[in-house]
Amino acid sequence: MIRNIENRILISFILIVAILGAVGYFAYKNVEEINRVNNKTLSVYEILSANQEIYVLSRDIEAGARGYMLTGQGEYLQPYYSAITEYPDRMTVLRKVADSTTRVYRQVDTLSHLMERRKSISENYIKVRQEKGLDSAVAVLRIGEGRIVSEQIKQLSHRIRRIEGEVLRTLLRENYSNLQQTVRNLFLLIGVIVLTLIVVFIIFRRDISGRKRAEQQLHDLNKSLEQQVMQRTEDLRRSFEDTEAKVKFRNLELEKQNRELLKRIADLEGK
Amino acid sequence: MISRRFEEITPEHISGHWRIKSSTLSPQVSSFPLADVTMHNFRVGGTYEADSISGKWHIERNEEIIPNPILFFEFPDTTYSAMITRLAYMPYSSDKRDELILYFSNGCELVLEKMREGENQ
Repeated sequence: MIRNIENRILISFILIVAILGAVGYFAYKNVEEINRVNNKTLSVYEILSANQEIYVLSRDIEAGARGYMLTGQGEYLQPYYSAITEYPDRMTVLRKVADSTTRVYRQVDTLSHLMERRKSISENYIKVRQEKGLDSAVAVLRIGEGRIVSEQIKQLSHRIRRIEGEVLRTLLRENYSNLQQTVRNLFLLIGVIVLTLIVVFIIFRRDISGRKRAEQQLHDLNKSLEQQVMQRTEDLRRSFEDTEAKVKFRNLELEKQNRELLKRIADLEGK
Repeated sequence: MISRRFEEITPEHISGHWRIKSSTLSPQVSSFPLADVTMHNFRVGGTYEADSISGKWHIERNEEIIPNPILFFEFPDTTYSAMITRLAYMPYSSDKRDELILYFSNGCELVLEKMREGENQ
Protein backbone atom coordinates (compact mmCIF):
# COMPACT_ATOMS: atom_id res chain seq x y z
CA MET A 1 0.00 0.00 0.00
CA ILE A 2 2.77 2.51 1.03
CA ARG A 3 4.83 1.61 -2.05
CA ASN A 4 1.76 2.24 -4.19
CA ILE A 5 1.24 5.69 -2.65
CA GLU A 6 4.93 6.54 -3.15
CA ASN A 7 4.66 5.61 -6.85
CA ARG A 8 1.57 7.75 -7.25
CA ILE A 9 3.25 10.71 -5.54
CA LEU A 10 6.25 10.31 -7.86
CA ILE A 11 4.05 10.08 -10.97
CA SER A 12 2.04 13.13 -9.84
CA PHE A 13 5.24 15.07 -9.22
CA ILE A 14 6.69 14.17 -12.65
CA LEU A 15 3.36 15.07 -14.27
CA ILE A 16 3.25 18.48 -12.57
CA VAL A 17 6.88 19.23 -13.50
CA ALA A 18 6.27 18.18 -17.12
CA ILE A 19 3.15 20.31 -17.45
CA LEU A 20 4.80 23.30 -15.77
CA GLY A 21 7.84 22.84 -18.04
CA ALA A 22 5.66 22.80 -21.16
CA VAL A 23 3.65 25.83 -20.07
CA GLY A 24 6.87 27.60 -19.04
CA TYR A 25 8.42 26.92 -22.47
CA PHE A 26 5.41 28.40 -24.28
CA ALA A 27 5.35 31.36 -21.89
CA TYR A 28 9.07 31.98 -22.59
CA LYS A 29 8.50 31.84 -26.35
CA ASN A 30 5.59 34.22 -25.95
CA VAL A 31 7.65 36.71 -23.95
CA GLU A 32 10.40 36.50 -26.57
CA GLU A 33 7.85 37.34 -29.27
CA ILE A 34 6.51 40.27 -27.23
CA ASN A 35 10.08 41.54 -26.86
CA ARG A 36 10.71 41.25 -30.60
CA VAL A 37 7.52 43.16 -31.43
CA ASN A 38 8.36 45.81 -28.84
CA ASN A 39 11.83 46.37 -30.35
CA LYS A 40 10.31 46.64 -33.78
CA THR A 41 7.69 49.12 -32.51
CA LEU A 42 10.47 51.21 -30.99
CA SER A 43 12.27 51.27 -34.36
CA VAL A 44 9.08 52.42 -36.09
CA TYR A 45 8.71 55.26 -33.58
CA GLU A 46 12.34 56.26 -34.19
CA ILE A 47 11.78 56.25 -37.98
CA LEU A 48 8.63 58.35 -37.60
CA SER A 49 10.39 60.78 -35.29
CA ALA A 50 13.50 61.16 -37.47
CA ASN A 51 11.35 61.50 -40.60
CA GLN A 52 9.31 64.27 -38.99
CA GLU A 53 12.44 66.10 -37.82
CA ILE A 54 14.07 65.90 -41.26
CA TYR A 55 10.92 67.29 -42.86
CA VAL A 56 10.93 70.22 -40.40
CA LEU A 57 14.64 70.81 -41.07
CA SER A 58 13.98 70.87 -44.82
CA ARG A 59 11.40 73.61 -44.19
CA ASP A 60 13.97 75.51 -42.09
CA ILE A 61 16.53 75.27 -44.91
CA GLU A 62 14.01 76.64 -47.39
CA ALA A 63 12.61 79.36 -45.10
CA GLY A 64 16.07 80.57 -43.93
CA ALA A 65 17.41 80.91 -47.48
CA ARG A 66 14.26 82.65 -48.67
CA GLY A 67 14.28 85.15 -45.75
CA TYR A 68 17.88 86.13 -46.52
CA MET A 69 17.11 86.32 -50.22
CA LEU A 70 14.28 88.82 -49.64
CA THR A 71 15.96 90.95 -46.90
CA GLY A 72 19.67 90.49 -47.47
CA GLN A 73 20.12 90.37 -43.67
CA GLY A 74 22.45 87.67 -42.28
CA GLU A 75 20.35 86.82 -39.16
CA TYR A 76 17.68 85.28 -41.44
CA LEU A 77 20.23 82.61 -42.32
CA GLN A 78 20.29 81.32 -38.70
CA PRO A 79 17.57 78.61 -39.23
CA TYR A 80 19.30 77.62 -42.47
CA TYR A 81 22.68 77.08 -40.80
CA SER A 82 21.12 75.22 -37.86
CA ALA A 83 19.19 72.95 -40.25
CA ILE A 84 22.11 72.07 -42.51
CA THR A 85 24.19 71.27 -39.40
CA GLU A 86 21.54 69.07 -37.80
CA TYR A 87 19.97 67.20 -40.69
CA PRO A 88 22.99 64.93 -41.52
CA ASP A 89 22.86 63.54 -37.94
CA ARG A 90 19.12 62.95 -38.22
CA MET A 91 19.63 61.33 -41.62
CA THR A 92 22.30 59.04 -40.13
CA VAL A 93 19.88 57.98 -37.40
CA LEU A 94 17.15 57.38 -39.97
CA ARG A 95 19.43 55.34 -42.19
CA LYS A 96 20.55 53.28 -39.22
CA VAL A 97 17.02 52.50 -38.05
CA ALA A 98 15.47 52.13 -41.51
CA ASP A 99 17.84 49.39 -42.64
CA SER A 100 17.36 47.01 -45.58
CA THR A 101 14.84 44.91 -43.60
CA THR A 102 12.32 47.76 -43.47
CA ARG A 103 9.79 48.76 -46.09
CA VAL A 104 10.99 52.40 -46.21
CA TYR A 105 14.64 51.60 -46.97
CA ARG A 106 14.45 52.91 -50.55
CA GLN A 107 12.36 55.94 -49.58
CA VAL A 108 14.97 56.97 -47.00
CA ASP A 109 17.65 56.75 -49.66
CA THR A 110 15.58 58.98 -51.95
CA LEU A 111 14.89 61.38 -49.08
CA SER A 112 18.62 61.70 -48.46
CA HIS A 113 19.21 62.68 -52.11
CA LEU A 114 16.31 65.15 -52.04
CA MET A 115 17.65 66.78 -48.86
CA GLU A 116 21.07 67.17 -50.50
CA ARG A 117 19.34 68.70 -53.49
CA ARG A 118 17.30 71.01 -51.25
CA LYS A 119 20.44 72.17 -49.50
CA SER A 120 22.22 72.75 -52.81
CA ILE A 121 19.34 74.85 -54.23
CA SER A 122 19.18 77.00 -51.09
CA GLU A 123 22.96 77.50 -51.18
CA ASN A 124 22.59 78.70 -54.77
CA TYR A 125 19.85 81.22 -53.76
CA ILE A 126 22.11 82.63 -51.06
CA LYS A 127 25.12 82.78 -53.38
CA VAL A 128 23.19 84.56 -56.16
CA ARG A 129 21.70 87.00 -53.62
CA GLN A 130 25.16 87.77 -52.22
CA GLU A 131 26.86 88.15 -55.59
CA LYS A 132 24.16 89.46 -57.98
CA GLY A 133 21.48 91.06 -55.86
CA LEU A 134 17.78 90.53 -55.21
CA ASP A 135 16.51 90.62 -58.81
CA SER A 136 18.85 87.88 -59.95
CA ALA A 137 17.95 85.77 -56.91
CA VAL A 138 14.20 86.22 -57.55
CA ALA A 139 14.80 85.20 -61.17
CA VAL A 140 16.47 81.99 -59.98
CA LEU A 141 13.61 81.42 -57.52
CA ARG A 142 11.05 81.77 -60.26
CA ILE A 143 12.53 78.82 -62.08
CA GLY A 144 10.67 76.82 -59.34
CA GLU A 145 13.16 73.99 -58.81
CA GLY A 146 13.24 74.62 -55.04
CA ARG A 147 9.48 74.44 -54.78
CA ILE A 148 9.40 71.14 -56.72
CA VAL A 149 12.07 69.56 -54.50
CA SER A 150 10.28 70.81 -51.34
CA GLU A 151 7.04 69.29 -52.59
CA GLN A 152 8.81 66.00 -53.32
CA ILE A 153 10.31 66.00 -49.80
CA LYS A 154 6.86 66.67 -48.35
CA GLN A 155 5.22 63.86 -50.32
CA LEU A 156 8.03 61.42 -49.55
CA SER A 157 7.89 62.28 -45.87
CA HIS A 158 4.11 61.71 -45.85
CA ARG A 159 4.60 58.43 -47.64
CA ILE A 160 7.17 57.23 -45.11
CA ARG A 161 4.79 58.23 -42.31
CA ARG A 162 1.91 56.34 -43.93
CA ILE A 163 3.96 53.17 -44.51
CA GLU A 164 5.36 53.18 -41.01
CA GLY A 165 1.90 53.96 -39.64
CA GLU A 166 0.63 50.76 -41.24
CA VAL A 167 3.59 48.82 -39.84
CA LEU A 168 2.88 50.32 -36.43
CA ARG A 169 -0.78 49.26 -36.56
CA THR A 170 0.25 45.73 -37.56
CA LEU A 171 2.74 45.60 -34.69
CA LEU A 172 0.15 46.83 -32.21
CA ARG A 173 -2.23 44.12 -33.40
CA GLU A 174 0.55 41.54 -32.99
CA ASN A 175 1.27 42.86 -29.55
CA TYR A 176 -2.38 42.65 -28.59
CA SER A 177 -2.52 39.10 -29.92
CA ASN A 178 0.61 38.22 -27.93
CA LEU A 179 -0.92 39.68 -24.80
CA GLN A 180 -4.05 37.61 -25.39
CA GLN A 181 -1.85 34.54 -25.80
CA THR A 182 -0.05 35.38 -22.55
CA VAL A 183 -3.36 35.66 -20.71
CA ARG A 184 -4.48 32.35 -22.26
CA ASN A 185 -1.22 30.73 -21.13
CA LEU A 186 -1.75 32.11 -17.66
CA PHE A 187 -5.28 30.70 -17.48
CA LEU A 188 -4.01 27.41 -18.91
CA LEU A 189 -1.32 27.30 -16.24
CA ILE A 190 -3.83 27.99 -13.46
CA GLY A 191 -6.22 25.41 -14.95
CA VAL A 192 -3.51 22.77 -15.19
CA ILE A 193 -2.38 23.42 -11.63
CA VAL A 194 -5.96 23.26 -10.30
CA LEU A 195 -6.66 20.11 -12.34
CA THR A 196 -3.45 18.49 -11.13
CA LEU A 197 -4.30 19.36 -7.55
CA ILE A 198 -7.77 17.86 -7.99
CA VAL A 199 -6.32 14.67 -9.52
CA VAL A 200 -3.73 14.40 -6.72
CA PHE A 201 -6.46 15.04 -4.15
CA ILE A 202 -8.66 12.31 -5.67
CA ILE A 203 -5.73 9.85 -5.81
CA PHE A 204 -4.85 10.49 -2.18
CA ARG A 205 -8.46 10.40 -1.09
CA ARG A 206 -8.96 7.06 -2.81
CA ASP A 207 -5.82 5.71 -1.18
CA ILE A 208 -6.84 7.00 2.21
CA SER A 209 -10.41 5.68 1.78
CA GLY A 210 -9.07 2.29 0.69
CA ARG A 211 -6.68 2.19 3.60
CA LYS A 212 -9.39 3.27 6.04
CA ARG A 213 -11.71 0.60 4.65
CA ALA A 214 -8.99 -2.03 5.00
CA GLU A 215 -8.25 -0.85 8.52
CA GLN A 216 -11.96 -1.00 9.38
CA GLN A 217 -12.19 -4.52 7.93
CA LEU A 218 -9.12 -5.55 9.91
CA HIS A 219 -10.59 -3.98 13.02
CA ASP A 220 -13.93 -5.76 12.45
CA LEU A 221 -12.14 -9.04 11.84
CA ASN A 222 -10.12 -8.61 15.02
CA LYS A 223 -13.29 -7.80 16.93
CA SER A 224 -15.03 -10.82 15.44
CA LEU A 225 -12.07 -13.04 16.29
CA GLU A 226 -11.98 -11.66 19.81
CA GLN A 227 -15.68 -12.38 20.18
CA GLN A 228 -15.23 -15.88 18.78
CA VAL A 229 -12.36 -16.55 21.16
CA MET A 230 -14.41 -15.22 24.07
CA GLN A 231 -17.40 -17.33 23.02
CA ARG A 232 -15.26 -20.46 22.65
CA THR A 233 -13.62 -19.79 26.00
CA GLU A 234 -17.03 -19.35 27.61
CA ASP A 235 -18.30 -22.56 25.96
CA LEU A 236 -15.25 -24.45 27.17
CA ARG A 237 -15.60 -23.05 30.66
CA ARG A 238 -19.28 -24.01 30.71
CA SER A 239 -18.53 -27.44 29.29
CA PHE A 240 -15.83 -27.96 31.91
CA GLU A 241 -18.16 -26.83 34.70
CA ASP A 242 -20.94 -29.08 33.37
CA THR A 243 -18.61 -32.06 33.22
CA GLU A 244 -17.30 -31.30 36.71
CA ALA A 245 -20.87 -30.98 38.01
CA LYS A 246 -21.90 -34.23 36.28
CA VAL A 247 -18.97 -36.09 37.82
CA LYS A 248 -19.84 -34.72 41.26
CA PHE A 249 -23.48 -35.59 40.73
CA ARG A 250 -22.62 -39.12 39.67
CA ASN A 251 -20.28 -39.48 42.66
CA LEU A 252 -23.04 -38.20 44.89
CA GLU A 253 -25.43 -40.82 43.53
CA LEU A 254 -22.80 -43.54 43.83
CA GLU A 255 -22.16 -42.60 47.44
CA LYS A 256 -25.88 -42.70 48.09
CA GLN A 257 -26.22 -46.11 46.44
CA ASN A 258 -23.16 -47.26 48.37
CA ARG A 259 -24.73 -46.21 51.64
CA GLU A 260 -27.96 -47.97 50.76
CA LEU A 261 -26.04 -51.12 49.81
CA LEU A 262 -24.05 -51.09 53.05
CA LYS A 263 -27.26 -50.57 54.99
CA ARG A 264 -28.86 -53.57 53.27
CA ILE A 265 -25.78 -55.73 53.97
CA ALA A 266 -25.86 -54.63 57.59
CA ASP A 267 -29.56 -55.46 57.76
CA LEU A 268 -28.93 -58.90 56.26
CA GLU A 269 -26.04 -59.55 58.64
CA GLY A 270 -28.25 -58.44 61.53
CA LYS A 271 -30.85 -60.98 60.60
CA MET B 1 -30.39 -17.65 24.89
CA ILE B 2 -29.44 -16.67 28.41
CA SER B 3 -28.75 -19.28 31.04
CA ARG B 4 -30.58 -18.68 34.28
CA ARG B 5 -28.34 -18.70 37.33
CA PHE B 6 -28.76 -21.92 39.32
CA GLU B 7 -29.55 -20.12 42.58
CA GLU B 8 -32.42 -18.29 40.80
CA ILE B 9 -34.17 -21.46 39.56
CA THR B 10 -37.48 -22.08 41.35
CA PRO B 11 -40.28 -24.70 40.82
CA GLU B 12 -42.24 -22.01 38.94
CA HIS B 13 -39.56 -22.01 36.25
CA ILE B 14 -39.86 -25.79 35.88
CA SER B 15 -43.65 -26.10 35.99
CA GLY B 16 -45.40 -26.43 32.65
CA HIS B 17 -45.38 -28.67 29.58
CA TRP B 18 -42.02 -29.71 28.20
CA ARG B 19 -41.33 -31.59 24.99
CA ILE B 20 -38.21 -33.68 24.41
CA LYS B 21 -35.98 -31.92 21.91
CA SER B 22 -33.19 -34.48 22.06
CA SER B 23 -31.99 -37.25 24.31
CA THR B 24 -28.71 -39.04 24.90
CA LEU B 25 -28.78 -42.42 26.55
CA SER B 26 -25.90 -43.82 28.54
CA PRO B 27 -24.18 -46.92 27.04
CA GLN B 28 -25.01 -48.76 30.25
CA VAL B 29 -28.74 -48.04 29.95
CA SER B 30 -30.67 -49.91 27.28
CA SER B 31 -33.95 -48.08 27.83
CA PHE B 32 -35.10 -45.16 29.89
CA PRO B 33 -38.85 -44.54 30.27
CA LEU B 34 -38.53 -40.77 30.72
CA ALA B 35 -36.68 -40.53 27.40
CA ASP B 36 -39.58 -42.17 25.57
CA VAL B 37 -42.22 -39.76 26.85
CA THR B 38 -43.62 -37.32 24.27
CA MET B 39 -44.66 -34.63 26.77
CA HIS B 40 -43.58 -33.99 30.35
CA ASN B 41 -46.09 -32.10 32.45
CA PHE B 42 -44.72 -30.61 35.65
CA ARG B 43 -47.79 -29.35 37.49
CA VAL B 44 -47.67 -26.64 40.08
CA GLY B 45 -47.87 -28.35 43.46
CA GLY B 46 -45.51 -31.18 42.54
CA THR B 47 -47.60 -33.55 40.43
CA TYR B 48 -45.87 -35.02 37.40
CA GLU B 49 -47.63 -36.53 34.41
CA ALA B 50 -46.17 -37.96 31.23
CA ASP B 51 -48.27 -40.02 28.87
CA SER B 52 -49.32 -43.02 31.03
CA ILE B 53 -46.77 -42.32 33.79
CA SER B 54 -47.68 -40.21 36.80
CA GLY B 55 -45.89 -39.32 39.99
CA LYS B 56 -44.44 -36.40 41.86
CA TRP B 57 -41.55 -33.99 41.29
CA HIS B 58 -39.58 -31.59 43.43
CA ILE B 59 -36.30 -29.72 43.50
CA GLU B 60 -33.54 -30.21 46.01
CA ARG B 61 -30.26 -28.38 46.46
CA ASN B 62 -26.89 -29.50 47.77
CA GLU B 63 -24.90 -26.36 47.09
CA GLU B 64 -22.01 -27.38 49.33
CA ILE B 65 -21.16 -30.11 46.83
CA ILE B 66 -22.66 -28.89 43.51
CA PRO B 67 -24.38 -25.59 42.71
CA ASN B 68 -26.82 -27.26 40.27
CA PRO B 69 -30.34 -27.92 41.57
CA ILE B 70 -31.43 -31.60 41.59
CA LEU B 71 -34.82 -32.52 40.14
CA PHE B 72 -36.45 -35.59 41.71
CA PHE B 73 -39.07 -37.76 39.96
CA GLU B 74 -40.92 -40.05 42.35
CA PHE B 75 -43.02 -42.90 41.04
CA PRO B 76 -44.69 -45.67 43.04
CA ASP B 77 -42.03 -48.22 42.24
CA THR B 78 -38.94 -46.08 41.52
CA THR B 79 -37.28 -42.72 41.86
CA TYR B 80 -35.13 -40.81 39.34
CA SER B 81 -32.92 -37.86 40.09
CA ALA B 82 -31.60 -35.43 37.50
CA MET B 83 -29.16 -32.56 37.78
CA ILE B 84 -30.30 -29.37 36.03
CA THR B 85 -27.39 -28.60 33.74
CA ARG B 86 -29.05 -25.64 32.11
CA LEU B 87 -32.22 -23.61 32.12
CA ALA B 88 -32.08 -21.06 29.30
CA TYR B 89 -34.54 -18.42 28.11
CA MET B 90 -34.84 -15.59 25.59
CA PRO B 91 -34.90 -12.14 27.21
CA TYR B 92 -37.24 -10.82 24.47
CA SER B 93 -40.11 -12.18 22.40
CA SER B 94 -38.80 -14.79 20.00
CA ASP B 95 -39.60 -18.06 18.27
CA LYS B 96 -37.07 -19.73 20.51
CA ARG B 97 -38.47 -21.59 23.50
CA ASP B 98 -37.14 -22.03 27.01
CA GLU B 99 -34.70 -24.90 27.20
CA LEU B 100 -34.09 -27.28 30.08
CA ILE B 101 -31.21 -29.76 30.12
CA LEU B 102 -31.43 -32.60 32.61
CA TYR B 103 -28.60 -34.98 33.40
CA PHE B 104 -29.82 -38.13 35.10
CA SER B 105 -27.88 -40.18 37.62
CA ASN B 106 -27.91 -43.15 35.22
CA GLY B 107 -25.93 -41.06 32.69
CA CYS B 108 -28.85 -40.18 30.39
CA GLU B 109 -29.32 -36.61 29.25
CA LEU B 110 -32.56 -35.01 28.09
CA VAL B 111 -32.90 -31.67 26.35
CA LEU B 112 -36.46 -30.34 26.85
CA GLU B 113 -38.18 -27.34 25.35
CA LYS B 114 -41.09 -25.61 26.97
CA MET B 115 -44.45 -25.48 25.22
CA ARG B 116 -46.42 -22.26 25.07
CA GLU B 117 -50.04 -21.83 26.21
CA GLY B 118 -52.36 -23.82 23.93
CA GLU B 119 -49.57 -25.89 22.38
CA ASN B 120 -49.72 -28.72 24.88
CA GLN B 121 -52.69 -30.43 23.30
